Amino acid sequence: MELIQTMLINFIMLGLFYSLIALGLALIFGVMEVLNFAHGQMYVLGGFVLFYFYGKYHVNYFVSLIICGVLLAALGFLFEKFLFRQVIASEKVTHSGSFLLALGTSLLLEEGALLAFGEKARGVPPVIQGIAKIGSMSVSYSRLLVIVISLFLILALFYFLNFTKIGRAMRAMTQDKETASLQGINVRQLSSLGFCLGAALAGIAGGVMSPVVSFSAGSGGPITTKVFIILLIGGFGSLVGAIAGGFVLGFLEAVGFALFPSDLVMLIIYAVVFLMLMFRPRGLMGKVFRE
Amino acid sequence: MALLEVKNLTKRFGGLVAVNNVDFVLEEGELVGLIGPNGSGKSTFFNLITGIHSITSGKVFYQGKDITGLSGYKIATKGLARTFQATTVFKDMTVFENVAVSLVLKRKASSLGQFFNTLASKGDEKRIKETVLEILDYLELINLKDENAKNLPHGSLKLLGIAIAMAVSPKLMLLDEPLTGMNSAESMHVMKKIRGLGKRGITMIVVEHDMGAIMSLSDRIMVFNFGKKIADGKPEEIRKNKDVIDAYLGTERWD
Amino acid sequence: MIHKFKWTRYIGLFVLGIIYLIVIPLIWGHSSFILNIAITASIFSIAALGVWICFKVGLMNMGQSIFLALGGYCTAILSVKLGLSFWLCLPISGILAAIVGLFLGSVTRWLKGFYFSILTFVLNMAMKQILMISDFTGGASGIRNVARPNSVSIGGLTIIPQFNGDNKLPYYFLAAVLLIITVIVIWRLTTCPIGRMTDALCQNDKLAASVGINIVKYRLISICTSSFLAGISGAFFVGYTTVIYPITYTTTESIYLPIYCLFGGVNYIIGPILGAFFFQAVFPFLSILHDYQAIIYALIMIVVIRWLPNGIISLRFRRKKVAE
Repeated sequence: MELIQTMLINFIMLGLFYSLIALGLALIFGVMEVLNFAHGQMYVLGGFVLFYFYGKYHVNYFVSLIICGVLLAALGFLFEKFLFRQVIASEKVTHSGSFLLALGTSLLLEEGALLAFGEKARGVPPVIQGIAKIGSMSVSYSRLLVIVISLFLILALFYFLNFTKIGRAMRAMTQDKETASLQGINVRQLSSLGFCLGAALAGIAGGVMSPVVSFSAGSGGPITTKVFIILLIGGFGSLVGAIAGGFVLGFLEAVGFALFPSDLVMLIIYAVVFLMLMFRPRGLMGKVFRE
Repeated sequence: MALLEVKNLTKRFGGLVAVNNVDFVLEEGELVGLIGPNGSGKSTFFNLITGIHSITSGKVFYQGKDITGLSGYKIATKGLARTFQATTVFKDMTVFENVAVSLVLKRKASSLGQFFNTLASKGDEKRIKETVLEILDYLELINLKDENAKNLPHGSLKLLGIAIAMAVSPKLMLLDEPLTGMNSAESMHVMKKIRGLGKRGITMIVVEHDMGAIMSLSDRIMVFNFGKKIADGKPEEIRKNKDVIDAYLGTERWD
Repeated sequence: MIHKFKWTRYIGLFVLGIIYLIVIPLIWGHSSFILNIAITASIFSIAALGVWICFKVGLMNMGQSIFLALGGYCTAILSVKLGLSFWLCLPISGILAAIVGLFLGSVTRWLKGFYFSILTFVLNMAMKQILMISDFTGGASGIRNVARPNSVSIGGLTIIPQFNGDNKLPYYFLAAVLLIITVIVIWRLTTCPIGRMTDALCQNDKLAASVGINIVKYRLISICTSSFLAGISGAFFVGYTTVIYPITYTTTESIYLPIYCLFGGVNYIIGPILGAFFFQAVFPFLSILHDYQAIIYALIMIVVIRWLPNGIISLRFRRKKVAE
């Protein structure tokens, strides 16, 4: 019974958390058609922001999260304005330039983080100590907080994308950039905003998770891979797909790690991705990507 | 047996119905004009037949065989060619190379043969060269043959598009706005060439906005509006058709 | 870009070949350090040429490490477990890699090219994972004591000497020969009709399909060639270093190989070779900087993509234009 409880809590927590970080990448991909390889590294940087502001300087946790979002958004802004914009504008049909640029930025951030912060694993103290009791289940406040904050941010994002003018314009862009620009939407500004928002989401996700799971400068790569797996399962180009994929991965991990040895779980996940690509390449909800 | 038969052809893009339940029969040797206001689904219609878009529902039969949803390159092997609305050519090649590379179906040597330059491959090259010159000669593009495609004027680019389509040795050619952007002299030239293709036995569907040209070229005219076929008949009938006149009121010059 | 048959090009390459095969060994034949750079650069050039071939059909192969590992492990296992000669293992490794490449390409054939990139990128880690936990491949400790290329004699005459760990010269020549053969084959591919059709495919795939060019077929040809080259490369390296581990080929190599292509210039065959030699030559010098090595790499990468999208070789053309 306890095992099922643990799996359930982990499933909800991981599902929401993965959805959050996947939404960030899906947003960037949607508005700029760029796979932000640096997403995992941005997550890690977010964790480090929390480590210093909340962990070392004892700034309020939630304020630290906001600072985290702002700093990462600024980073995203700089990347978009000085690097991506020109490369995307000059490349023709294949996205190889922006693809490799994204890889370059991820290497830059990863090595930069290693240089600046060293290889040591870090963590931050839990925001609220102790264990909560919900009905017959007991769950640590830390995990509960992850669930609550992730849920709040996802709902806030959906409100933004569906009920505000800017958000709706951004959604239109993710569906069809050309038509959107013909309808007077400022594609350039929104691309920038989209990148900033996506980067901020990645960083905040890192901050949110920092009290629960320790991280190090090198954690970025595996996180990026996981987010790609989420989008491969859920479907690129679909924001709902990011959530669907997030929960599928959350499920596979929550159940998998509880029941099987960890090496095997990762292989199972890769196998699932492979099979999905073979039989339903567009993912659960993605746009059709047939030739 | 009709050369091309389209039954209940429908294409939906999300909530938008681009082509709505179109039925159409094309006999060999005909030249059918396809007209309609912008956005009425004419190019999408072509794309559905040639396998560029997936078909939501309906069927396409070519020479009696079902070719619904067949992928792009296989369509060419059946003898179905098309030109594109934009000036679609291989921009980084010369005119000669553009047509030469499009004659891929004329090659008899396998890829391995091509790699090792076997006798079969050499024979291919010779035959292809002759055919390219024939096609370019017909379209009167021959003096531009070594010119880089991206340097060509608009009219020549359109002709090159037709040359590329001719390379497929098609029985059926779909021409998407071959006269757009041309002055009257160029238009006359292209129209003469199109008629010439008809005399060579190529069946054609031509999408155009130039009413005069369509009226003069076509044996029959099909009219689209909002993805639906609203009229299908001889040019004189179409002129007088009320639905057609309504669809076009104020949008196109009629005479 | 259509490659025309030019005598001048052939002569230029011939001269380069002579310099490489004769002049360099004469001058630096004793320097293990220089030879090592040249050897690794040559072989990475071969792997990079594989990635280059994929670029030629509009695909970005982000998983060349997978095939490098396949080739390396294939040779290692055949050599250690079955005692097969290196000279047999080399082509077998290439063929095995090509078959896996064919499978991968077939599975993604209906998808937009970028799916191939993502899949290959994700599979890098999957491959490492599989190698780590599989006993057959030696798990995390990998495989060691792989036999070096053995001597080959016909009659009483030794055509190929026994390779050993001290003398790098035989490896140098082998690497050079492999590179030269690869360049000739790739050159022929791009100049023969296959190459023209892939050019058309690259410039406008819808138009190419509409005239009957079978896009899937050419993609598969490229992917197979690419993985074959990587398989050969991996096999060579394991015959050179005699060891192979799951971490020998990771995402890092998969990322750098396309960079080599872009750096040198993705429009020319010599591009990936230039890139490979540049980075391999610079690498040891950067190691002085130790910790900053990797970040400088990343910076170079970003600078190249942002300001030299057509590669180093485009500088040559820029200067020409200015002169006029």
